[in-house]
Amino acid sequence: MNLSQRYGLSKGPVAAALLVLVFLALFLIVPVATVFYTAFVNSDGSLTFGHFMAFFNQPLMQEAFFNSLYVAGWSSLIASLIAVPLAYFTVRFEFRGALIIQTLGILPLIMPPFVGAVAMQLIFGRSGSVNLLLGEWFGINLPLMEGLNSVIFVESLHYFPFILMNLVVSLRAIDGSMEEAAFNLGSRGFRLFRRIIFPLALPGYVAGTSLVFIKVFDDLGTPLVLGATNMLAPQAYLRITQVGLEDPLGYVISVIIIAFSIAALWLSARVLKGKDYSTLQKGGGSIQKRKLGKGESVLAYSWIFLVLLLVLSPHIGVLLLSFASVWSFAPLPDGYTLAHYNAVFEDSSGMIANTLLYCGLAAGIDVILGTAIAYLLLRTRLPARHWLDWFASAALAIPGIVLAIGLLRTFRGVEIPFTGEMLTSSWILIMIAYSVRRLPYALRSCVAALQQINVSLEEAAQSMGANRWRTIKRVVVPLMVGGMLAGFVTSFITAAVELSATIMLVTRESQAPMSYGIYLYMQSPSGRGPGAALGVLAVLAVAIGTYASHLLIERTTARQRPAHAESELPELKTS
Amino acid sequence: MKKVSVECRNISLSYGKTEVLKDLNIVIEPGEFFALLGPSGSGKSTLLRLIAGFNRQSQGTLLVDGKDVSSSPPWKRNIGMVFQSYALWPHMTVWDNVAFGLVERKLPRNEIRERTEAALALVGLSQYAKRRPNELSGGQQQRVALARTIVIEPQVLLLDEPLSNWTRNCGCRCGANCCRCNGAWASPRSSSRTIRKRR
Repeated sequence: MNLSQRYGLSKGPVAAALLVLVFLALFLIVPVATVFYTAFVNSDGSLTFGHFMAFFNQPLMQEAFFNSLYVAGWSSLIASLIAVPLAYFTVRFEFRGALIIQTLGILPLIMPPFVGAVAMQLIFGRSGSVNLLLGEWFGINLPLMEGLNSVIFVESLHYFPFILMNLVVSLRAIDGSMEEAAFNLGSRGFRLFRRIIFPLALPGYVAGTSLVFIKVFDDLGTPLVLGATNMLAPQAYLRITQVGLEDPLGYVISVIIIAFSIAALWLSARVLKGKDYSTLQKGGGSIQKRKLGKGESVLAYSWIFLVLLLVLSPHIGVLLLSFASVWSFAPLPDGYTLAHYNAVFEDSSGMIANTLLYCGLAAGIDVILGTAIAYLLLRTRLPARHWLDWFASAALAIPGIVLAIGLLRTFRGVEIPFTGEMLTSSWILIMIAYSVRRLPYALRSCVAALQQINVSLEEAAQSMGANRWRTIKRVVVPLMVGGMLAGFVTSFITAAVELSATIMLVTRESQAPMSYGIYLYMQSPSGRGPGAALGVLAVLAVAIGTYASHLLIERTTARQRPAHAESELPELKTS
Repeated sequence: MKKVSVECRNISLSYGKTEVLKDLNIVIEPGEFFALLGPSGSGKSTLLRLIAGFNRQSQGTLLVDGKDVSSSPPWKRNIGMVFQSYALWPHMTVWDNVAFGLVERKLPRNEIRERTEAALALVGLSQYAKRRPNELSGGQQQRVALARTIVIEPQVLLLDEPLSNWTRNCGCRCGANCCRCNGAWASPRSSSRTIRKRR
């Protein structure tokens, strides 16, 4: 029996696997490996730790390193302070606020933090709306938007939903009897929460918090917009763009950022090892919900509304800014105008078109690759097929700036055939960076869609005489199409607000997409209005896209319900 | 239609460490109506799936019409199988489900229409052609699955748990239909042999 027979393979799957592998190797594995390689060798190619020594000997780099840790740590802490009570409220109490909290969970995610950053300065800055009012009434000034505080404030407001969502899932999985047993043994109130509930929900909390830490540690756009350049990601960006691709410090910073991402993931995996606390028993219910008392009700609602106000402030701020004629040293804009939107449609239609082009192509590539990997993973016994999945998903752990640096370094001097244009200065590299970064989203969506299809549907087609390719075309793809579309939309909208790889890869203004446009506009005070208007458009697009993909998933799941499950019951009754 | 034999010679198959089939020998004569009985987990479905080409034996040979088919893929075997779960495609109408195999065989459009109509009439579902599978009852779905398989006139027809969803009322009619189907191309021998598998 030869190899292809043993694994039940024909040439098609092997060829598909090789194509996927070539793509991942060229645009993800080799670039990231190049970054590591460059950080550890001298210009003559000999191994060295000298670049790392140089990094830690520079006061600016030391400062950037500790600032990044400081910001990521505080952001995780403040995000926890916001998220933990909210998560507890939803699970513990029966009240209408739960719906608001659900919405709260999604709202910040539809607007990238760098878009709202400037608006936040106008609201919470030294002479922003809040401090003006506070100064007038109480004579105090909150330094919320000073230096690193501003980054912490903006990032924790933006990323707390990661903790909220993960924690709610964990809390819901706790069996009610756990708590009752604790009651029974005399524990109650905050002690009960501290000793029983929270430890049982720890896995969700740790998973969410490590995500927040990594996201904040990697983020490039927000610190840049807020002018906090003494952090790691901005320093890597400045090094590469100002000193050049040859400067080893940019690579050292990249390696450090990846090392911390992986360390955070590893640490959370280690903490969680052997702690699957999902204690929900068959037939058991989750923690009992109870009605809120009057005092509690007031407390809970005020906390929720305070958070809601904070969370919505960047959105409201950007909206106001996009309509404001003049807004400075005043709690609200002095006048309103539509001029910024006009300006955006006149000046930036090229940017909108670029976003559509890059993100459309990138999402298309993602869906094709995602479907191919999902099929190879779930429907063949190809050896090492899991590696494709792991490599593709590893893109999640690679910050955009690192991928961009790696791509620039790997493909420097490479020309696109027949055009004479450098690959590194063409928009194609931006598009490829998007597709690599967003592949994990499309992949998860495609895998989920294929998992829902019962294998016997494909076997039936094969026994009717349809070969592998015909079966994919006539049965698999039509049944997966909802999931594939959802994957497309997710990849598209998250690519549309990608900034960290974009800033590195855009070489001239004519190839800039919307996200870069917003960033550029926000650099100058006169550009804030149009920048905000462009931001509003981007947020609207993202919100509509998110809703559309949600609908698509719902519809597909509804259709894929096992065909006879619904009609079985009435029939049993009649016979 | 030519009647064919199915022969398993010394077939073994295991999932991981579990030996499901061990040194199995069966000869099914041409035109024979053959039933496999056994407790759940005894490997009935595994054997059917092996004959249809979805499982591969680790040892032994599988002969259909005297030829070793072990290395040919399911779509080249012309062996029809009605799945335990029916495996009706939810994105196609009843008509498209039944016509699927004929389309795959690239038959002329007229012939596809005639044979699909005939197959649907045979199972008494002509009026449901435009419906989707999940708009039918369990028994009706089973008949669609049967029609879909017999329409391609397979040389061997495999039914996985064909009685699982037969209610009393529909059972009589379907049973009669089933015999009629069989008679159409492979009349069962007067005394059907039954093999009881032992674990």
